[in-house]
Parts: sequence; C-alpha cells; structure tokens
Amino acid sequence: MELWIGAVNLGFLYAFMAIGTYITYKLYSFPDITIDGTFTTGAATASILIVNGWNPLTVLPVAFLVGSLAGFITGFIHTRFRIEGLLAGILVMTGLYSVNLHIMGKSNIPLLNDPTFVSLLAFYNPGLNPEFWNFLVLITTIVLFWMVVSLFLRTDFGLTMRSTGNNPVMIAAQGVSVVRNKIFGISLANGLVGISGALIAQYQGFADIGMGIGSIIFSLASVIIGEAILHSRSIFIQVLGVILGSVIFRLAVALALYLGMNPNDLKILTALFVLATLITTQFFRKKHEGRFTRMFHHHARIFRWSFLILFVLLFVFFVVKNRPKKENDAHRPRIGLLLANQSSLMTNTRNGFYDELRKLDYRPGENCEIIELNAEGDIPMNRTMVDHLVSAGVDVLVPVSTASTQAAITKVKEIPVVFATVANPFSIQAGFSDSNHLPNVTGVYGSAPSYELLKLFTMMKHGKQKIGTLYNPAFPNTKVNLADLHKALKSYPQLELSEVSVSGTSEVYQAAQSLAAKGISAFILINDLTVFNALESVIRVSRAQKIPVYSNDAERLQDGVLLVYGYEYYVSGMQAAHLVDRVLKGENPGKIPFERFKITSFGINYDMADQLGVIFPDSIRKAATITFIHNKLNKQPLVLPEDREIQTKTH
Amino acid sequence: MTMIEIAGLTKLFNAGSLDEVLALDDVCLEIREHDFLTVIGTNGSGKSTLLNVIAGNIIPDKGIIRIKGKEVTRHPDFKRAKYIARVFQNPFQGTAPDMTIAENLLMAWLRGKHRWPLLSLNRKIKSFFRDQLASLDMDLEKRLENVMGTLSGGQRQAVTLLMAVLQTPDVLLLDEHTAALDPKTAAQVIRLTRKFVEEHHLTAIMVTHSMNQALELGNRTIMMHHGRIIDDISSEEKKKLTIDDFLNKFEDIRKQEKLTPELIGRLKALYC
Repeated sequence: MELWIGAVNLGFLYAFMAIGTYITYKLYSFPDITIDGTFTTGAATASILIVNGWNPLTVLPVAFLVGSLAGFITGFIHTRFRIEGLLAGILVMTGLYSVNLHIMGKSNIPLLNDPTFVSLLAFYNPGLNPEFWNFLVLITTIVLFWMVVSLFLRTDFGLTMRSTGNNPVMIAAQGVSVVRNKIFGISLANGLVGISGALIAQYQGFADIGMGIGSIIFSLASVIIGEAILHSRSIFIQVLGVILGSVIFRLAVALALYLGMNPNDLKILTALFVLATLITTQFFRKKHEGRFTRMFHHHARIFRWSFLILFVLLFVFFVVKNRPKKENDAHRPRIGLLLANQSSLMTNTRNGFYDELRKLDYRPGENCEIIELNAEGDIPMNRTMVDHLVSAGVDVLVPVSTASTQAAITKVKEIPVVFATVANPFSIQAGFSDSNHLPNVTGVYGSAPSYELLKLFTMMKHGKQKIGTLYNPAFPNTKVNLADLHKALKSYPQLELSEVSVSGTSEVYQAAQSLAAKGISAFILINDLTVFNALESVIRVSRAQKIPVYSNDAERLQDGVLLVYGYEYYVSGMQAAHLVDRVLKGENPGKIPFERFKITSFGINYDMADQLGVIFPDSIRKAATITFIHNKLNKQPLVLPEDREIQTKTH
Repeated sequence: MTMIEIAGLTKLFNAGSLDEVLALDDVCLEIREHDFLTVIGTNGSGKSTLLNVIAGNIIPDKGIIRIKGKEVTRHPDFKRAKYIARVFQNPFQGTAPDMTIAENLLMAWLRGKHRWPLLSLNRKIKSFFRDQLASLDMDLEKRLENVMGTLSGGQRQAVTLLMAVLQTPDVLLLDEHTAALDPKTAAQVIRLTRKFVEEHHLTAIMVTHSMNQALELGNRTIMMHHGRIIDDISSEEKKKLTIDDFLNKFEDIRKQEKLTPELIGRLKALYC
C-alpha cells in the first residue's frame, strides 16, 4: 500500500509543477523547458536554507521567488530579444545548472537530520500511518491550491492571461502589454515549479543536481493525461484534470515498477505517449473530416470516461493480481538490491555480492529471493524504487552507491539497510562514526587511499615532479577524494599538483591534453565517476605523450593504467553479503559498525610500462597483487581476511 | 477640436534592400473630433501602414503623431489602447476564439484599464453584456457563454465592433473590416458601423476597398497613392461625387505616373 499512497503523494507534490506547465503550455502554447533547471533550483534553494536553519515552510516562498526569477529571465529573453521559446528555455536551463551548483556548493545536499515538511507533519501526526497522514494533509493542501489557481484564472487578471495566450493581437488592442503579460505568466509558472522542487527535495530527503532532468516531459504528460480524462471548458475542471494527470502519471510509474518494467524503458514510453497524444490532438482538431473523427467527436465524453474507467480497472487488476504473498514465503528471506546506474562500479559490487552470498549458502530462487532494481542514473527514481522494494516485503535492503543509499535511509526506518560502495556515509548523515549510526543501517564504505598512491609514485620517480589530476566537482564523492589527495600532498612537498575540472565525459580528452601541455610527469587519478567513464580519453593522451597514469581505481588496470592502488568494488559487494547474512540471522544492524574495505589491491601493468619505457623497481614488483602482462591479467582470487583466517585455521 | 494630428510621417520598409518600399512619404493629416474619415487607395499605397502607425503597431521613421494633443509617436500599441479601439480585416484577429463571448467582452470592457485579480465577470455585468449583444440583432444575447470560435466570421466581426465601442474610444480604427465577409454580412456590419459611430459620436478612420462605402460613409475621404495623400475630399464635395469621378481621379494619376491601361483595368476591377 505504501507504494501506491507514496505515488499519489508524489503526484500531489509534482502537481505544482504540472500546473506551471499548464500555464505555459496550455495558456501560452509555450513548452517551457526552463523547468528542468528551475525544479532543481527550487530544491537547491530550499535545501541550503533548511540546512542553515530555516523553517521548512518559510523556504517555500523563497523557492517560489527564485524559480520565478529564472522564469523571468526566460520570458525576458524570449519576448524582448525575440529568441525562440524553446531556445530561450534551453539557454536558461543550461545556465541554471551552474547556478544550481553554486547555490548548493556541491551536487547533493542531504536533509536527513534537518526539519522538513515531512518531519513537521510527523510531529503533528495523531497516530496514523505516516504515509497516510501525509496523504491527508497533502490532499487538503492540493484542494485548496486547486481552488486558488482556478479562481485566479477566472479573475480579470487571469482572464487577461488566458486571452493573451489565445490571441495576442486582440489583447494588445485592449491595452495589454503582451510582453509583460507573458513574462509574468512564465515567471509564475516557474515559481510553482520551484515550489514543487522544494517540496520534492524535502519529501525525498535530499536535493541533487540531476533531479530535474526530464521534468518538462513528465509534466507535459501530466497535463495531457489530465486533458484526456477531463476535457472541459471549465477552468475548474481543467485544473483538476492537470492535478489528477500528475497523480495518474506517478501511479503509472509505480505500476510500471511494480510489474518489473525497466525504468529505462519508462522514459521512451513517456516520450512516445506525449508524442502520440500531440499527434492525435492535431488529428482531431480537423473536425468533421471523416466518419471516425466525427463519431469520436460525437461521443467524446463516452470515449474519455471509458478510457479513465479502463485505466482504473487495469490498475486494480494488476495490483490485486501481483500482490506479494508474504505469508507463503515467510521462511524464505527476501533481499532488495538497488543499484544507481549501469556503471562497472555498480555491476562489480553486484557481482561480488552475489558470489559471496552463494558462498554463504544463499541460493537465489531456492532458499532466498533477490529483487534487483536499477535506477538507471535517474536520481529521484531511487526513492520510488525503495518504496517498491518495501512494499514487496523485503527483509533487508541493499542500496549500492551514495544516491541509492540516501534514498533508502531517508525512507526506510523499520527494515534493515546494508549499503555498499559509498565513499562517505557520514556526509549523507547515515551516522556520526563507524559505531554510532542510524539504528537500522549498516554497510561498507571507503574512499580511495591517495597517500599510498603518491608514495608509490615517488618510488617510481624521484625528485621534484609535476603531477596532474582531473575530476568532475559535481560529484560529492569526488570532493571527498580530492580533499584526501590535497591532504596527502602535504607529506610530499616535492610534488606540484595541477588540477583541471570537467563537467562531462566529453571534456575529459581536452582536459587531459591541457594537463599534458603543462609538462606533468604523471596523471594521478582519484576516483571520479566522470573520469572513470572516460578513462579511455586519458589513456589516449597517456600513450601519445608518454605520460603514465596512476589510479586509485583497482578495476581498470588492464585498460592502460600503469599502476593502480585502491579498492575493488567487488570487495564491497562481498562484505555487504556478509553483513546481510548477519542481519538475516537476527543481528541488530544498529550494533554492527560500518566497515571499510578490507582488501586493498595493488596492480602494475607491464605492457604499459614497455610502451612508456618505464621500469618497475624490485620493491614494487614484489608488492604488487595484480599484474597485467602480455595482455593477460593475473590476480589472486579475492578472499576476505576473516575467511582467510578460517582457512588457515583449518589447514 | 483636433483629435489626431499627423505631421511629416515617413516610413521606409526594407531600407537599403532591393524591395525597399516608401510606405509613407511625408504624410500630414489633421482629423477633427467626430470626423468619420474613409481612406481609399491602390494596393501598397500606404493606407494600412497609416492605420498601423496611428494604432502604434508600426513606429514611423520620421514625423509626429498627436492624439488629443498628446504626442504618442513612439508609444507601443497597448499604451494607445486607452484612446484607440480597432477592428481588423481578419475576423479571427479581433477576438479570442477559445474564450466565451462574455469573457471577450470583459476584456474589451477593461480596455486601457488595469486588470486586478478581481472577479468582475458577475451576473450584473453579464446582463449588461446581454443588452449590448441584443443591439447587434444577431441573436447572440443567448450565446453569452458560448466560445467565440463557434461564431461565424460575420458574427465575430460584429462582436469585435461591439467590443471596440463598449468603452467609448476617442478614435475608432477600421481596417477593411468587411473585406473578408460575404456581401450580405458585410452590409450588416456596415449598418452596425454607421449606427455605433452615430450613437457614440465617434471619431473614426476607415480603410476600405469599396468605393461605395467610401462615398456613403463618413464626412471626409482621403485618397492615397505611393505613400502620399493625393486627394482630400470634404463632406460637401462628396455629396456631388459619383463612383465614376473617383475612377477618373485614378485616370489622372495614370496620366501623371504613366500607369499602364492594364493597371487601370485592375483598379477598376477592384473598385467597381
């Protein structure tokens, strides 16, 4: 039930954004793509203010103002400089990305221990199920909002806004500045989107730089669904339709997840749905042409209602049919695994987790069940997926990555959570120290050791050296790793560091070249998802300019890195499997300390050394645990220390 | 009293390019209060440009426009709307198609006024609108809540005309407002035009392609050619004139400007 009420609540919170799109798209025929940025701006502003001690409700008007300022800029450049609406939106949206990063100071702000409207509501909860209590309050708010918006659009001012969109020539002849009116409307719409962002950030427990992506398509879908089910001239019904559209859209997302659909496909389905509706509305606009069209027009009401009823019936059918049968599986533990994206970081963790579980005699499908979901890089999706896993009745939740973990620990208080592959769980407020942390949470974390990497470099190259690094500052983990590198550098005054930041994989090649041009003698790569995904670009420069690459990422040695020292995320999965085992056997996760990675890998690449004309000293040759030679990777199977102890004892 | 004063008005379109057009060439014109001026002229003679410059849709290169003694040369259209009401040639331009008749009338009722978030569209004002619609004699008073898009072109043009005079304007601009209508509806709209102008003692400027309308309506007619006013005919003169006299005037222009007989034929086809 949580999944469905959660979806309805999300629908209510997104309704503010959908109304914003209704204003721009339906009233002004202006598909305002700015909202992809404004949504995040609202969330960012609200979060940074809440972290600084503001009341979670007083931040809403501020989010509204900041959002409408963004809308004002779009409206201004669109009307004053006659830049096409879509282009104006794209310009402002792109600019907002930097603004949002500046507002937040980092790419992610957790609100776990800060007051939010959710915690405020919890405080006044008369003892109902929290999600249901949220629902009651939100539905009251949304009914009020519905009334206010509808009444506003019927006032002289609202009618003027609608006429401006409908016929600008006519309204200008009546003494209205079309430019000013449009700017106002776009500002108002973006203000509402800002509020939506602020509310969602509070509801999901964090703001993230990527949370607004796709907003315009999702809210267009809401507007279009609303129009399809409640087609009316009455502004009250139209606004109600948009709100219902938003709720139905979120329910559809929840349903798709519930049925095990890949959320990656959900995006193309949404896009196709919006496209199909746009085409059909154009088709039906040509009235009285053809028998079918005429028939459709004649019975439009019946068609629409049957569509709605069909949807509800289908919905109920699937929900009832697929309801998890908890009782039957009571003896079979159910594990929910949540991955953030498809990067090898995730899949290595996942493989380690599965392999180690099997060693611990968990056989998925036989004596245990694993429900695996992947958010495919869509950050807000993590939260819906957590809802889904909870309603599927998992006994333990295993979020992999910081974003997934953040969603899990915000939402889940009753079920144990074992996280893996998180750089710094304290930065997302999972705890204060390894042993003092949230009562239902434990897990594996660790950031790569920069000090050792620098030490190995100095063993390879003596004396004064210039080194270079590149990274994407948008990732919170990167910031942690970078601070670690700066700290380590203090022990090596002979090293001079050049830094270049990138904002996407496509910039990595140029950034690497610019470092090479500064005359560095090595690339020292800290763990960074962007550079990790574009490592090939760095390797190309490395080969061409004969500058070796040193990396903290132990899993990319064979890809052309000269020397690696760091963690394999496979290990994180293995350790998580052990923690899951302990939790399932009844241990209290609150009493299990957070674990750091137990195995460090040290690898050297002889092939690369040949190409670059480098010779490894004996001390390094002996210490390496992984080697890459003649195109072959040689490594020992990874065994956790406690297992090694057991093995040595039995021998 | 002078209502509109125009001096040295010049407008060059596409300046410096091959299709450079001098749409207005040093036009001077004075329109007194309660004048009903009709404007005729060949295609591209500048009559629509003149109307658009008065309305503020086009800002002139040179010259001065004063309305009621106040200079408005550089004011945009919406700022002049408190003096000026307009009816366009295209019946779809004057009204918002997806809004009801009542809502459209309210927008016109608020012409030139500030629009507050107030619910003015109440029963009282609707009954006022109903009375006004009844004066159109088109059975529209029952259709106050219908959307404008469901009306015919003639009905929409009649409502636009009503909207223009709902708040009595200082100046009424009519831009070939019957050109897109069938003859019967056109006659009906002309009848309404005459009625409203007389009832409200309006100052009006009407651009027309119909020589008949130019002769029958108004107390003054100007003829334009190549961006200039080439003739200004007063009320007394108009009474003596026939359509043939007008056509002869075009003939004179031909002599001056060497119009081909072909063009004369086209002009005749246009105006007869």
